[in-house]
Amino acid sequence: MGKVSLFIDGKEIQAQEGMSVLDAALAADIYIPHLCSHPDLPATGGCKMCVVEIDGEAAPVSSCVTEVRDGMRVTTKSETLKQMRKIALELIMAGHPHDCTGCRAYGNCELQAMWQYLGVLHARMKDEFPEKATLKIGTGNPVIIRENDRCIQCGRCVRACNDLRKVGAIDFQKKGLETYISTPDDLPLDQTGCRFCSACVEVCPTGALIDMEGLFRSDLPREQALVPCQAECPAHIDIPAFMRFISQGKYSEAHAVMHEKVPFPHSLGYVCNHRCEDGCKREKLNRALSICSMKRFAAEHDETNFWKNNGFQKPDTGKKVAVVGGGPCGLTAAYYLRKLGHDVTVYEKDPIAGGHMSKGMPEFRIPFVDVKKEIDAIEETGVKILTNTPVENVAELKRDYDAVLVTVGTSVGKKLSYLPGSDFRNVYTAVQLLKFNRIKLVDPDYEMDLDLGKTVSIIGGGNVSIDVARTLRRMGCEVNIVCLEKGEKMLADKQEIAEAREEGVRFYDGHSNEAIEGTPDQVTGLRVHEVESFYFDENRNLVENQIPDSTRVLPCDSIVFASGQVTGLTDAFGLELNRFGYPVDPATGKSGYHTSIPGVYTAGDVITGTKFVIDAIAGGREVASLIDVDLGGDGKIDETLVERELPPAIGAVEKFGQLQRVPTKVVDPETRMSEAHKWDKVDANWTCDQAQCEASRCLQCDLRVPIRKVENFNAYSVR
Amino acid sequence: MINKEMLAERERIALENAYKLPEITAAQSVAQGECPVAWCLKLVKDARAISDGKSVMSRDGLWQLELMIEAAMRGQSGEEDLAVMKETLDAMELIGDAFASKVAKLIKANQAAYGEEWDLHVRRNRCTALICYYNLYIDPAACKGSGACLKAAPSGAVLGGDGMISVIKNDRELKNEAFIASCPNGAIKKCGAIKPPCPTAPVPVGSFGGGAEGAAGGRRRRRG
Repeated sequence: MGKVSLFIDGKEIQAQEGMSVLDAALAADIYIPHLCSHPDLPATGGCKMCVVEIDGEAAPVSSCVTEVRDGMRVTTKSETLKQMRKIALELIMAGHPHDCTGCRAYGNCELQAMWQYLGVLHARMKDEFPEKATLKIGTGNPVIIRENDRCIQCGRCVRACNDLRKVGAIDFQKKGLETYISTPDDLPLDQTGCRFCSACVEVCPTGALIDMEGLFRSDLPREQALVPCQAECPAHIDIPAFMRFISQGKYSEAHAVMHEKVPFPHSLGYVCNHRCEDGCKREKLNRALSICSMKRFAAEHDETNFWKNNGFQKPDTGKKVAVVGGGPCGLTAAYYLRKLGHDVTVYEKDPIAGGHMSKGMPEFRIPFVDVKKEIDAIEETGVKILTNTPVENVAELKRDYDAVLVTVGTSVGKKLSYLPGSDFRNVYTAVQLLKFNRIKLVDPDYEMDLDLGKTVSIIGGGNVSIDVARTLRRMGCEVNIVCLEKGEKMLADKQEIAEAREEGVRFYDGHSNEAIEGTPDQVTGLRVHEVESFYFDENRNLVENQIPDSTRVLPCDSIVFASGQVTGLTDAFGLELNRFGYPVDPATGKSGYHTSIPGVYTAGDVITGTKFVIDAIAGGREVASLIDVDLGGDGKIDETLVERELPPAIGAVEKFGQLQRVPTKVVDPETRMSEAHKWDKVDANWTCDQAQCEASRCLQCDLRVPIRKVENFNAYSVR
Repeated sequence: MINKEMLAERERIALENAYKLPEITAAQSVAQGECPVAWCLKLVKDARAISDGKSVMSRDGLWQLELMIEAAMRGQSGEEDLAVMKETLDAMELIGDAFASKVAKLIKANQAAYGEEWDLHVRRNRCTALICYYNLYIDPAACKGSGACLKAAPSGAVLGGDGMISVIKNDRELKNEAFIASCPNGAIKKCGAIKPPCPTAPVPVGSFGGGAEGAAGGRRRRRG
């Protein structure tokens, strides 16, 4: 399109052919007041704020709907125009509440800015509307709040819903003689085709459409907070993008999106604690999207793995980096450091790498073969993994490397040493047991000194305890879980508890331990009593409200502590440690990426304490970036593995707000406890149809981010 | 962003709706016995019913006019309100779409033709056609003492009895067509500021001859 030249208030400006006079003026930094116009919506000339005089025209015209012409002479400020705008604004304001305080849009309201600019106040027009019947029409839903009395019928929301999104859930309606904005028949939004994209909220100039309070975090920049799932994810995976791809059946593309931020999407799809789902806006409507399992689904249905060809690989830098500990944090850091061009060697003390993913959680929850595939992909980039290679002293190791990263995690189980008998022979930790089981499944020759006997009592009621219990059931043991928390208050995931019960695990919840019975050579039982309630006093000491005469002995042959983990590091490792065994940065006195030895870094559980795989990965990314900068690189690890667009139009889906979450299929207890299938994954995931259906429930919060903001008068130099 | 199709459609609707409105001559020649101000109120209400309500003048502008005219018809308006109304009408005519602009033109034409009548309404709360402002009285010559008006009125508003000429004590709550229609003999009548001679208290049917007794209520008012 060609350029035209026109005069605005005597100043010659250039504009694109087809552009409106309003847009041309704004682009030239000349303010023309406007309320119903929005840069992303078609103009209607409805509010009359943007009237201008054009030489040769009999009457003022709305500049938003007037195309620029070559040689046009436009006047944007005159007494007549001021009077026209004043009357129009007085008319608009007559029906609007007079008191701005108490409105959540206060200070962020275009109407407020407009009356400040024009100096118009409520006063002259009639402002009592005896027949106004549409104020209290509710379209009740917990996402989009509507306060109809603040609506000025500018119609931006209508155009956002109809012209931008092609949803058409709301429109101008008439009741009697009154015009108002609503759904057909004033139906609640979840009974219409509304997709809850909130474009209407985004474009509303007043406080008539607002987000439910608490929907977005206020401690983040707005464009991040607007997509809560991505904001909550420690690695900030572009969740709406992969949801969109899955809903379109593009699984390889979805998988690529995940790989942009994490090297272990498949593994995460099994075991992530999915804080993304806690943030999901859909949770407010009915239930959050099933985000976590989507990662696993995409990985399992990616037939091309084209993401591998699209990543960056910087040329070799000649720098050598050692990573101590091959868990999710160490491997993630190793992966990115290798891509940044460094020569990376991972030291792994066990026969297999993968940390908790391959040794700390049961096979039936996260199969080794899938973790292995992702570790292999890391090795394909040139990362060397030395298994069965413990590092005794990191200072010595540092001599051979430019940088050393310690990511040993918390790989040693804790025993409650105050419990009498905790030093007996048949007393183990969850870490020992799970690791033994996992390595043994990979390598049948692997041996560990374990004498479990027939019945095992597990102390602790968290998810690890359930993992141990279900593993032991599959190893042929009778299992008791003993924990203080009773019933609903138990710390483990509800579904996991239910599945464990189905598998024959016995729960002694609301029980406290007194002592391990037996001799140092052979445990014979666990003495417990029931508690009515308990709490921790100000010194963090346990205070129990014991049920009288409830003491009894649970006969068992061994004990497993599932009561936390520690780093297992000692001073011999060469790093300055705090009294709990965590490395500290002498500069801050706290655990951080830096240590007491320059060039030796730490990340993951070894500085944060036991957290989740996704936290370890996020830490691995950060520390890799930091090490690269220290080694002379730019630290940039962000990459786009698949090109994508945000579709502005999404169309209506009937009763979209009511679409129910599609659960994944859980294998029935008989099959999953059978000899042939007992180590198979318990969660059988979705069919493709189910996954697409579930992914289609996404509210696509990211679509809102590119919607432009209307600038108020103070953003323009000529106003 | 300009969407020409959308704008053309809006313009078409405005023109189509404008076509449904009366002609200017109708605004200037309100039928005998009708009130020009009330004519404008009906015009605005009809216009609101037709309007698509999508622009400020055809939505807020029309509603505001309705409220302003109603105020003029209820004695709740002063000269400054007429001034605001004029500004509003000027703006509507100048920058409103074809539809809103035509409504403004019609009202302005009406006001030009019936300036005195508008002035009478706003400044003196009077309506020549006895539509917007009127008083009620019971014609002593027509009243047959049926007592129907007593049943139709709130207690105390009308005095009377069997075979007696009813007398309106207080017509504030009675100014409605239903009350006027309640008399089977059509004796409830509208009047202006000057009330015809009536008894001050109920007297037997046929005993009121008019004249001196009614003069109290029929005092001539000062012309303003």
